Amino acid sequence: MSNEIIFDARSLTRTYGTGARAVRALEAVDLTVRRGERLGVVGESGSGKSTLIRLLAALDTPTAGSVTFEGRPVTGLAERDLGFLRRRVQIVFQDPRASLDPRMKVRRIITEPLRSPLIRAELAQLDPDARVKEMMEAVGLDYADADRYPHEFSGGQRQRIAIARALAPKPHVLIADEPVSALDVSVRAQVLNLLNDLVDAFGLTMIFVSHDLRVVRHVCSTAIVMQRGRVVEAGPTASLFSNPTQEYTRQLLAAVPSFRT
Amino acid sequence: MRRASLWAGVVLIGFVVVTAVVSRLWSPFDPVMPVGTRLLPPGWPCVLGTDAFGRDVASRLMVGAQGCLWVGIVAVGIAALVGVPLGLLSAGLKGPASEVLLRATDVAQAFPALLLALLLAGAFGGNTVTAMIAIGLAAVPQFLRIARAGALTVLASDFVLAARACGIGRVAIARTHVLPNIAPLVGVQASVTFAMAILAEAALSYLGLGTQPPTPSWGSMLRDAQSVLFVDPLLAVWPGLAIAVAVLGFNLLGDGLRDLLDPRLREVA
Amino acid sequence: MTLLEVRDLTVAFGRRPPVVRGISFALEQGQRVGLIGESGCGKTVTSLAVMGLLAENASVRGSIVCKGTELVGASDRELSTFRGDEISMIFQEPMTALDPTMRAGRQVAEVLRLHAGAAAGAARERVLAMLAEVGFSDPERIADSYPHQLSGGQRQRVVTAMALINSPDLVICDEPTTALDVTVQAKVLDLLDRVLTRENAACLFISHDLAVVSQLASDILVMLDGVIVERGTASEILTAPKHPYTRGLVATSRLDLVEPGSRLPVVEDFYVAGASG
Repeated sequence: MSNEIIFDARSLTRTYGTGARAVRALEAVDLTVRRGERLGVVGESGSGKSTLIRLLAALDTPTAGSVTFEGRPVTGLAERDLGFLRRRVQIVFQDPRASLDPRMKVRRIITEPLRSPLIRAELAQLDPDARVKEMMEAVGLDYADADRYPHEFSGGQRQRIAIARALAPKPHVLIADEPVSALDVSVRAQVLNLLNDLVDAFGLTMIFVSHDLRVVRHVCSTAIVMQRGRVVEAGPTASLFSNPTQEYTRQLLAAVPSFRT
Repeated sequence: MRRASLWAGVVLIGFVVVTAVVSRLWSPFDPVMPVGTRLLPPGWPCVLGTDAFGRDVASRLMVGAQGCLWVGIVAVGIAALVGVPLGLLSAGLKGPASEVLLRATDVAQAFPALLLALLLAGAFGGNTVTAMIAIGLAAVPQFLRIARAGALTVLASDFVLAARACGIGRVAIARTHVLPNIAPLVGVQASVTFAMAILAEAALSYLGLGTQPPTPSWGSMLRDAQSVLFVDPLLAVWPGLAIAVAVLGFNLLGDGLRDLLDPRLREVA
Repeated sequence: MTLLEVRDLTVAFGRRPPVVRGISFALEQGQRVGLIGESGCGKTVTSLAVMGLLAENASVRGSIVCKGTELVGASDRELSTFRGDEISMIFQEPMTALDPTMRAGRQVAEVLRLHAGAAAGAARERVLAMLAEVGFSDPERIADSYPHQLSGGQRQRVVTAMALINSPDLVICDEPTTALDVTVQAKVLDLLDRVLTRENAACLFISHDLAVVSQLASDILVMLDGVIVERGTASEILTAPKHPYTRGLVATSRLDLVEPGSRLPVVEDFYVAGASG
């Protein structure tokens, strides 16, 4: 992990609705992500972790606060000026049954980022077919299956397709939003190993969102713990999980089911 | 039998389509010119008899199938080509603009096709074309709503979010993701609207606002039959039966398509 | 006394190959058995077969005997007297397990009145008592709430109340805590443990999460492709599994035993699926 700051979020706030019925999904969150870091974002439902990554990926605008990516401000920019972010930051979503268009062939799904005019402007010319082959091989899929539809694949394979799509535009940052939570327990390790290998191979920075502390402890070097829109605790995973300083973190750790034998 | 609705619908519609196609090339007699004695009962050579003007009922019925299909195609075409884009627009817009569009749709939906047909007939003279346009426009709200509902579901999905995360624009998303995914829904609506259009055209022709004589139309055949109802009741039965077959066929097709779609949408655990 | 005896249970849908292929197991009174396996192995189908809740096109062969009554081939009316009374089930998805148009209290009462025939007033008291049992500090408010006004954890507790109010002898739990936050999960598991102990009810606990299963179950059955490949006490299965698949499943689940950052063991390291039978 280098010292170069990739994401710098200051006082990020996101409120939905107004007046008495306002919901504060995120409250004054500060966050710094460094190049090469594997940051875990831990929280239960309502913690604001999904809101946070949407704001980082500029899929939503904050009510207050700012986000800077690789030194360039992101907040307040029009969509057409966000090409630099779109190309370098990609997301892998939780449910592979919902994140792939059921009516598109795998080939077209994986190359979709390359069809975005914003991304094309930021990327040197890439041969789409060659890229599909590269990406499918990188995630352990057979290129011969490129013309199949998502429903012809298993859950684990679909998640690999989603990862291949995310890597197609050569991003710098991979945001993984609960990437294995919707997968069967027998395939989770495969996908986690794959993510690990790819992050290493391509020198990526990873932001890994999960409610499962056991996974975050294994995958991430640093982590933040969120509750009700605020960051409760942050630090290296090793010390965070062995010596939590905050009560909520302690509660979370205590709730993790252990192997009672 | 599985998919009974679907196949039954296909068979009935097939029947109508084949009749229409064949009638373009051949019919037992000229549908417009009198052919023999008036009000003949079914027999030979006029298999279904003759009407009050001595025209062959069977030939008129066959040629009437053409009109029935044309009306359906044009009306559904207009309704879909206007309604679906408006529906997509309504789904994509946020805030007051979307509301305005929906309220306008409510108003439009309250406007009966009949009234529209009357207005058009008053302005341009009543004929098959004005009937088709009136029916098509009256069906726009149905397509708008179904396209809007389908689009809202698709737009909420993760794969659209993934596309947005790549910076793909709203129009491109509508074209590559929304349309292919709502196509089945629109197809079902088209089938149901087709049935409605046939009925509507028959009603308009019956009222004299649709297909003008002497061109045969099932609706105008019904009207002609009315004046001789007690003399020759069968004359009303044939076009009525034809309308029923066509409408039933399209409704069954719509039901069958809907059933076909449903299980696919549900994942088997 | 043997509460439930399943013998050679085979379940097939339509003309497809059987999803459950001749499994046999037994549950004693008060015994808690975990059923683990990946999705598609037949564990949910097995539990639905015991409840008699399979779809119309399911063909069930074999024997399921509960307290002396054969459940396979029993009429729906016979099965209805069992369901909710002697055997009850807690499903995974609390969002869909409750009727959105009925208040929570009424749904719990419905189960009670169906089997115990209690009058409305008496039923209300029992319902409130049960809701307090499952950990609600304000049972009145919960009973008068509609499902959409409750959180996921609260809904799952209401469902648990419904499952336990008739003091069933057997509670089947199909991934009851998978959709819940980890802190809520801990509370619900604790609740299940307490109530099961108090009622001396047996439990068939289905889950893909081995740690969760180990919290509640004393014995474990491992299913793969419709057959039980291994069975034993929870301790045996988790510390010294014998079948290669079980070893793979246990190894891949025990993140706590792996060095952070290193490669996780996968099931394929131990067991590769051969040609399916």
